[in-house]
Amino acid sequence: MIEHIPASPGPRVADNDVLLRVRGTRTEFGAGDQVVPAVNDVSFDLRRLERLGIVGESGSGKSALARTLMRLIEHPGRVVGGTIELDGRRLDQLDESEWRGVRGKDIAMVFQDPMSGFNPLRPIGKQIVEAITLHQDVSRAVAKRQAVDLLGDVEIVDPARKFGAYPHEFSGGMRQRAMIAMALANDPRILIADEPTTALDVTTQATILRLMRRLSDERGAALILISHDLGVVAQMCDTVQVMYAGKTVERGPALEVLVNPRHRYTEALLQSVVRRDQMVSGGRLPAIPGTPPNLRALPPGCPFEARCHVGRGRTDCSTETPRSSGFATQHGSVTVKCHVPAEPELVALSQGPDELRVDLGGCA
Amino acid sequence: MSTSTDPLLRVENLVKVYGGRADGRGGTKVLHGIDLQIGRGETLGLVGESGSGKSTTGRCIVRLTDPTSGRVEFDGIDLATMRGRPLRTLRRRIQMVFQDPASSLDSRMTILESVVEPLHIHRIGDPAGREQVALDMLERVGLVQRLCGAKPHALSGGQQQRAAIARALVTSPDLVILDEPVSALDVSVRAQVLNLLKDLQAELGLSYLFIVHDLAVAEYFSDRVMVMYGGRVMEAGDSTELFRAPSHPYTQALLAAVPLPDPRLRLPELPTPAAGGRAPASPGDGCAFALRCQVRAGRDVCVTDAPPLDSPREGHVVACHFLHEVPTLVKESS
Repeated sequence: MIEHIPASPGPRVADNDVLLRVRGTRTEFGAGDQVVPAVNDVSFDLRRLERLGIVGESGSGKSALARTLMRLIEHPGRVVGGTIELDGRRLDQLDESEWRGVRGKDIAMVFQDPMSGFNPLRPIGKQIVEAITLHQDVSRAVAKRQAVDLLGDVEIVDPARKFGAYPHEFSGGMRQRAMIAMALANDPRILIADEPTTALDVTTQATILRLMRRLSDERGAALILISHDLGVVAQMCDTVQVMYAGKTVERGPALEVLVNPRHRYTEALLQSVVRRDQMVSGGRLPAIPGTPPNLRALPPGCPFEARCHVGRGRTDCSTETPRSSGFATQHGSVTVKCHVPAEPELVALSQGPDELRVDLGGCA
Repeated sequence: MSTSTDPLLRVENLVKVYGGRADGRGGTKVLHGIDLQIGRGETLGLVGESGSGKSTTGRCIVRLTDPTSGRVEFDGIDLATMRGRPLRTLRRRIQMVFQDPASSLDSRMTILESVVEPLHIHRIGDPAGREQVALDMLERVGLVQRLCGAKPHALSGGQQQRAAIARALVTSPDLVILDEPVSALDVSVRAQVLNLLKDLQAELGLSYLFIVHDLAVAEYFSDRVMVMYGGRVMEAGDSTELFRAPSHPYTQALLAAVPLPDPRLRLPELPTPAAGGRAPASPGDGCAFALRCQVRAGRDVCVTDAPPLDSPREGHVVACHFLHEVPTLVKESS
């Protein structure tokens, strides 16, 4: 089953300038009747320069998706289906040695814990030099100059001296800066950041987010930002993709998905977050009941049905898997997998079998 | 005997030094004389970034670590130097809920056993009735009976935190220290647990010391808030008022950095504190925030002298030498 998710990113990015095309990706962990479909048929396009935010809770499949895109799924996990195309090149068909030429060069990744990205026993500068010489045919002296420049670019004070520092000598924020420097070392076309600021303090987070926005633009890299924090995604991304139980349930311009959510899960999630600008004083928070479903025994129908204040108990929600439907909006098109989406006064552009390949690019 | 109008908890000049000699010299001072009070049925929110000393303050109050000096007065009794049996007896009345619920549940015990255990330890009720007391508390926190016989690993994070709350509350404490109780939970279950904590407070008349880094949650949940940085109090006051018009440069920087989940509201390009600015380990006697502060503008007094606690409004304190120079930052009401 192939579906096309065309949701447009908004004015900053050209709608048809697709860099990465992901179709029907499936990634599983476990074996036998313990199989967990962590990524369950996910399709999307990433455009040149686009900043895509993938939002979800633990178990939603957002990190497994990021690792799938980098081919970093380790045994017993495995990618069991789908295609990934980078500028027309089928990444899913590459073998491991070919992948080594892609990883860190075309697609680079920043992890939540910057310690995990560095060898604790080697100076940070040397590790960046290694990342450079692995993919570029330059002398060590040139690579060292580049590494110092990169450290300066991520706003590390006195980069020439910090070149020789070990990871433990850096604060958490500086380590994350150095990690971003290393990820950008080979001018990747796509930077994937998995919860890059979750372990940081809020003031440090603000500076790191600003840095990532500036550098991805200056260097012409598209950004995939994985986060559970709706605030971080709202501040960073053009496009937002909401995942639940391994599937994309809503996708579209940030200005739509986070302002006029259509999927009942997105809607409930936004309402349950405590916001400084919309304080409910003293009252109860609009909480979502229950917990995310067990991926080993997914119920039929919509995975959110049991927790949904609109769909709970409805026959269609509890028996039929919702298909993608598209909505045209002033900011671009939005796709939603929900039987009872919010704002029903908006006319659904199309609703049909996923195989129909609904293309909304021109309508938005 | 204390009267009911006295605060339940009064902390005065709490100092904690890690390492160093027995007289406290040569070590790292992580709390520089903290004062706080919590009234009966009140919630005090303790906010700050990592290293601000907010968790250490909580741990000194329950005596998970011993304060180096200062007074911790609980219901009129000085806890700071108490030892042995009297301390154990008082522990029944002060409980703690941690960020990681698994850390307060024994992985080999069933949920019910974990909640009964504190009743055995404190010899509360008759042994035969303890199980029923625990079951009642588990029902109160919203855990279905089916889960009471399960081991912690069979529960979701939210359910584990409910169990940890039941274990903390089963001894009928007066004060509960909540150390980031929802930070490790999924976004969609945080609101459930916050609502539960509010309901239990109203039902049982609990006082909370709520340690939290999420400023929006602190604002929503607390009656009063104390902002800490580098082991010192920067600002404290009524929660609504403090967040509406933050007065300390640090509080302002902190609030300006919170990303709102609305793409139409971009973060203001306010000067965030300089990068690489970890709070200096021992900034002498000056203001802990001096090295990152925009208002200081190089003036020496900020690094040499501790700022006096100014009180611009009733019940509101701010520690800043140049309070009159801090720009006003008032939140627009929504």
